[in-house]
Amino acid sequence: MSRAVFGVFVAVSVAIAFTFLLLPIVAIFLRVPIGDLLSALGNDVARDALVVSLKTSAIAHAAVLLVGTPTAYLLARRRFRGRSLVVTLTEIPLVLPPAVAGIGLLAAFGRFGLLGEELDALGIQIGFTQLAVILAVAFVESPFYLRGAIAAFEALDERVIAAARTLGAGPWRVFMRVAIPLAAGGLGAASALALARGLGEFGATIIFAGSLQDVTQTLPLAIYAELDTDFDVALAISALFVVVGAAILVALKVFTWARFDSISPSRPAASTSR
Amino acid sequence: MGTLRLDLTIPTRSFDVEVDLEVGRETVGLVGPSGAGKTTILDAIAGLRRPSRGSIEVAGEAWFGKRVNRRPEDRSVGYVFQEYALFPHMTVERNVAFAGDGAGLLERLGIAALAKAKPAQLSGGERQRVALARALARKPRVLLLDEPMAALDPHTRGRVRSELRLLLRELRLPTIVVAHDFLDTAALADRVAVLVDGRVVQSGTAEELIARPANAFVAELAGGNLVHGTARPRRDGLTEIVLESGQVVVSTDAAFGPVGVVIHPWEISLARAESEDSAQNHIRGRIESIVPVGNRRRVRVGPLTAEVTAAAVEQLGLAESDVVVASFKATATRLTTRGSSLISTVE
Repeated sequence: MSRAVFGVFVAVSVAIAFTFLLLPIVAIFLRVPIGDLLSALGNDVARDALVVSLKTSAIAHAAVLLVGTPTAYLLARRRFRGRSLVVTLTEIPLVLPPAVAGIGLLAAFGRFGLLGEELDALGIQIGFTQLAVILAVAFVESPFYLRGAIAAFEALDERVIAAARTLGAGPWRVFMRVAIPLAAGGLGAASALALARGLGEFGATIIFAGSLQDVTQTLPLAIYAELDTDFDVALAISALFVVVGAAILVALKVFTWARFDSISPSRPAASTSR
Repeated sequence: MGTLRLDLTIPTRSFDVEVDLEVGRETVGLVGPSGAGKTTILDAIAGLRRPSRGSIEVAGEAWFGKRVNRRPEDRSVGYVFQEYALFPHMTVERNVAFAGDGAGLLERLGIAALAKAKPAQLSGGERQRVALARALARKPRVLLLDEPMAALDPHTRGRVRSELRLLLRELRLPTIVVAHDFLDTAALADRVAVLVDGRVVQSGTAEELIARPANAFVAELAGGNLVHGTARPRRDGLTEIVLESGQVVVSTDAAFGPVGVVIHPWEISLARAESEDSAQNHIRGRIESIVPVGNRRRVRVGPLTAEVTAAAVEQLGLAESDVVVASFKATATRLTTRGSSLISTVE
């Protein structure tokens, strides 16, 4: 194949790829003018879904960060038998279809599930409540955070951690003052990615939590519900997602870029006199 | 008296490191090729690496033993890591404060002006001072320095060495300095132990090692020239040493009083007449011996041994009892001081 033909082949591929990826997004904004989008978001269904989404995502994400960060730290820093098996197990939700995750959550926490009787005895009902949404979101987003956080902690300079210990810092102080600040870039990127995945959660939520307006109906579920009744509302919510998605992408780039600043190995400096 | 006593076996991938050492209020140099187990020993003392047997005691207190293994944070070690391992996300001030009260240490080490700077903005010499200040803020009972000169450019090295030597004398802490360069260590340490494949093959003062190397390896490593003299600073910042033989030598190291001048044989060049090169030191003498070592020749001229190529000897047509000039730079000299007062030229 001649050089010119290859050039055309690559150029056409790039053109198709970009058109295909951007067309749906452009279409969302072309179908409804920006002004109409905002008024459509004033719709009850959209507003309720926004509140449910923000609330459940925030709680689920906070829980994932709180539990996931020390877990990732341990898995990244400790060498023990079966470590890679444990790491692989945390990635299971990554390969499961969200619908299967929903069924799994029902089978575990549902009324007739594994822990159903115990939870019932305690007066706790999870299925089809906001708590169910939180569990579903946390379940599907956690591997995204764990993977990134483990990688961030693994990249820490061993000697800097060792230095902190010889300077008298116990494990808690090493974790809070050295490990977390130094891994902050990677943790931030992982957190943004997980948050995006959690906000978009659909399959597990609809099976485990249902789609009750003002209770369990999150933004993605509202899009699905409004598809038949008011397509403009579905479009408006979708447009909102595009904006949020773009913001998260920018945050991701900023975090990965900031990382170079925070993890700088000591390199010989150019000037020696000051 | 805060003596550090260790008797350890530390397993590594290729061999067991065996070390039996007692360090009082002095500086012991640990010299050897890379991979000899020097850092392994420091890590074991700091508690970062577990020995398979033995004991570590500081002032009679057990840090490691049959039923003891204190955590690094529960020992009291000032460890200056090879690349300094500063906290890159903290300012100089915070780096030092992490270890304890650093009041006065920044001033003492001349880095007070850098308090708000981040490690990435510092030069190698400045980083070393921050690492030292941080280690000292811990108020350690033992000081460990891993290759303190390695990350510095040759230009800074001489000055930093003089400063460090002064500081170590002042602190009077049990100190272990690890280095692969014998002369760097000799200039800092009261005693030197040579470590090869995890074993100490010889220990003693630098003078003893140079004068009576136990084996070929020590001879090669320490194989420096040692001549004695009296040092005094010159106006241009260099140090002038009047040798016992009456000849005068110039050094970039700072010292005052009786000193030993150490020069590597390969730093000395030979010529028939005083040449117009940048070398400041020229010593005229008669060739006493020419000994072949591989493709090189060890030529003994007066009190000095020069190591030159066989080709150079042939080209100059050198033969025993010829009179030649041995030349070497002021930067190629290291001054070792024993009980003499030291001054620093950098203040």
